[in-house]
Amino acid sequence: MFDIKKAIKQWQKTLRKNEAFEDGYIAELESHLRDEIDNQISLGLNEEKAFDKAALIIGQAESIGAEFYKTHTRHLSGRPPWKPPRFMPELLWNYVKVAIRKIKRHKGHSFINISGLAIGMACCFIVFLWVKDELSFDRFHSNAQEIYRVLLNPQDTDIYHPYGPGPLGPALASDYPEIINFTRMFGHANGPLKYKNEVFNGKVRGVSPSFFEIFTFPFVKGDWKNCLSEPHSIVLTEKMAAKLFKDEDPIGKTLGFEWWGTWHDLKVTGVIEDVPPNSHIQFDYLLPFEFVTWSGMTIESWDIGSYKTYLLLPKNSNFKEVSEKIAGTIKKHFPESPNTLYLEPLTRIHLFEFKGGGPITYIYIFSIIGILILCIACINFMNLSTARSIERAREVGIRKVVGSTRAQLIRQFLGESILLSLVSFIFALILVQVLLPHINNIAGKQLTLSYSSSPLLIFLGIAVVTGIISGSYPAVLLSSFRPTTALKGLKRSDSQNISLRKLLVIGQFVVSIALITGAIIIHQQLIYMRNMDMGINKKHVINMELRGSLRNKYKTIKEELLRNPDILAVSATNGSFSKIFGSDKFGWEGKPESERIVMSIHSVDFDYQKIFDIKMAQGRYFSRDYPTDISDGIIVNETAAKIMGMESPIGQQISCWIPFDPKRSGTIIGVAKDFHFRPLHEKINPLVLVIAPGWFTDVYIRINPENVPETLGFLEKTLKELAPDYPLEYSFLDEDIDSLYKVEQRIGNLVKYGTFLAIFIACLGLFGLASFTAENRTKEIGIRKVLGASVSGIVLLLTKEFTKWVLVSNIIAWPIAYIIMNKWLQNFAYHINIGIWTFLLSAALALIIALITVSFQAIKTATSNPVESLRYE
Amino acid sequence: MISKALIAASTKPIILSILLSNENYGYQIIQRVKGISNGSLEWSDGMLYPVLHRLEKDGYIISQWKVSKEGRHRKYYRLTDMGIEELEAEKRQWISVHSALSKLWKPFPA
Repeated sequence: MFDIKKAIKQWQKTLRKNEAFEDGYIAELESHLRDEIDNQISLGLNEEKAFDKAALIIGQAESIGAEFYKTHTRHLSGRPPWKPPRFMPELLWNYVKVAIRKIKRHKGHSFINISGLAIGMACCFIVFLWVKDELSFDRFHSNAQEIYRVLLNPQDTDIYHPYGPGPLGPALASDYPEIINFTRMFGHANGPLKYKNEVFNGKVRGVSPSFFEIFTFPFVKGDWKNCLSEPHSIVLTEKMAAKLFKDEDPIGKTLGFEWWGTWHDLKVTGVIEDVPPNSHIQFDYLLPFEFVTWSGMTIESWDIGSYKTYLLLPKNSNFKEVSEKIAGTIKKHFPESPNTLYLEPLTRIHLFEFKGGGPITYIYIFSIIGILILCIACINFMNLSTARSIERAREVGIRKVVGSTRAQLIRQFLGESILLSLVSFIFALILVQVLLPHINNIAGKQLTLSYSSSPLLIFLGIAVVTGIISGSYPAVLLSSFRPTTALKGLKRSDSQNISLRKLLVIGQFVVSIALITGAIIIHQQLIYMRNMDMGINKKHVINMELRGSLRNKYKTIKEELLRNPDILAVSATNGSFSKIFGSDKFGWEGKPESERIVMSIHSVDFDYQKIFDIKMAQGRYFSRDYPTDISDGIIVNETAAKIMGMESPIGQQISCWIPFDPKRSGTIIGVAKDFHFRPLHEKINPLVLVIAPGWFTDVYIRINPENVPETLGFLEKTLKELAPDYPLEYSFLDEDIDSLYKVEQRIGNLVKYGTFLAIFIACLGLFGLASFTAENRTKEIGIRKVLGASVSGIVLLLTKEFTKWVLVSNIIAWPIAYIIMNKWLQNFAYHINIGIWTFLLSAALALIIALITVSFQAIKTATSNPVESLRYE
Repeated sequence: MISKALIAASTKPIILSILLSNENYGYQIIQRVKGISNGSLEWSDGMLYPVLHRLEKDGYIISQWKVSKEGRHRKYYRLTDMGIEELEAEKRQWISVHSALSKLWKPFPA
């Protein structure tokens, strides 16, 4: 069937393509076309032929006309008057008024909408700031793209660590001309500085003078070129300088630095700005690299050394090539070394472990979560907006009758949602400012949102886009109402909308349930690790560093402390828990030649067993009754005995390497029951215990669980009297161990918050959906009530369906949560098993929350007056 | 066949004259011209509309959209005061030329 209207429309379209034709001219031509068609029809042609002929007649003329037009008579034939003008400023004001009126009239509904969007946006913003901060690590150095860290990979292992021998840096620089510069670094957590009899602890790093050429740490005072060229100089950070010197000028002053029992005088040659938190190199002051030799450590040996080496390569160099070139450098100078070298770009150090993985996974996870939460908020907004559509139908009907086009209506509703979105944006900003301090606490960061920063503009853009996206579906839906049905109050049934909503709500609940399950499991794992029997008694043990005068007067102090009956034992060892040295330099009868076996070695004293209550499986612990124990006694743990393949270890000889005593060997006098001395991420390693007093670095004190404050007071007093130089810092061992799981705890906290948020937003969605379906069924409920249904019966009816959905969400969420959490738990050598009741618990929680949410709406509907709902306006 | 130049020169006075009596729309004008000239002047709309709009731009005619009973929109043109003056001016020019030609083509004084 030839449709003349369609044909004319088509003809119009082709005309419009030519930009010379203004709308008015096209309208005039169309009028002419119709007249010609009528003419042709009167001449006897049928419609189709008439149209073709008419179009032909006009068509040729168009092209000439168009050219003429362009040059001469533009803007004379603008819009034909029966078409509405494109932009009417007066109407805009009306839209704004109506939008504000709507917000005021439905405060509850608007509040839910705004808060949902605000929370979603705030989440997104915080995640954005966090990710931005993580990605910005170490990028503030001007040479950041050309700095690389040297990693060592021991043969046949998957370990890549940065601790190498001293001569590595200079050798690399001289052997390979493509390496522009190098610097070496040695660090220790605590080094006391003394000025005018005040002692402060700080993180110390020893660096080569080229450190400042490679890294960018701006100087506040002093000459960066020469500040560390003399062996007894020191460069302070502003914070450290302020602590020590208050208002004095530090340059040129002398302060004391204690290292392994001796105080050294150092001259302050520079002050630098505080190290920014997004730097993986953290320190409070810098010494020349050679300072490690003051305690007898060597920096010339290829065999021994734990120093970090950084290299500076030229711009745009291919670091992988260089990495391959230098791979065998250590072996070249020291053939027995099992280590191959690799280069790691500076910018990857914080986020990536060398072979992949590392904190970067958390960035992906959190980014996805941030986007998901924003999506959920948008979806909620759409749901809630369209759920109230009946109320706006009248307005739409009247506007259409008065002459509004669909395009205008769409613009109106889109504008409303953008307005709402901007209001939410402001609340989101407030929310972000309020929450940032807490987030910083949990995540250990210093995120800020400043009002002149580019992220703010990005956030504003996100807000506008959110408004547009969230408002698009409601706008299109609302503007499509027919005036007649809308004004009569009839509601068209949208069954497809319902299933879309169902899917959205189910999706939200899946996410919430997965998060709840994850939070529960993480919580369980943390408790498990904290309470796990480590094989030793770690409560009420104090840990201090053995340095300074505490070291020199250890015997005296120990005697004095033991006089207090609440101090049960004092012991010295070579490292606080979990920092225990690992080495492969052991020898025993029957040791396989080719295999490389790493065991941990720990230097202890006679009282170590008393502190930790170590149980022996075979033999005995070191005892003062056997003086040979000091030079000859060795204890191994069960794992070590197994690894060494010894069936009856007692009496066997072992040789091991100890700094200051490399040719140490001894007889095994006992086998200790396995206990955990490393974080529970790892399985129990083989352990060898010896008594090597020269190697002691830490003191453990076991105190009585009662009278703790008095005991602590006594401890402080004694130390102040006998060791006034010693900066009194101690910690409790169980807290130290807990802090090993800092990362996991942070994750746990963040997941907890994320869970609350997801649940809240899901509830918003559910609430919106409940309102919608309740609206749909007001008449039905009215009739039921008239027929005698009770309030509780109706509530049950309304909530039944939602219960079904929540159960469906559960079934979907369980496998997802299980897979993800299982993977996470594999990180730990010792972990809980995920029990079925965890899933049941989260299902129950989700169900309860859903029911509470839905019942608000259900009760409201169930108690409404049937007269209201059955009235026919 | 009337030459292009002649047709082009004559459109303005013809249109202004047609619109002198009453207002017309484009298609109507074309039909009237065809009718008056007994078919020898067949204007196309590509010829007409540019002239119409040019005349409107110059201010000699003025346009208005009207809707017919059947719902058809048509753009009607009518003469302005300036247009009436312009028509007089054109008339004078054409009459001068016409009398010159008439005198040349007159066979013999009858």
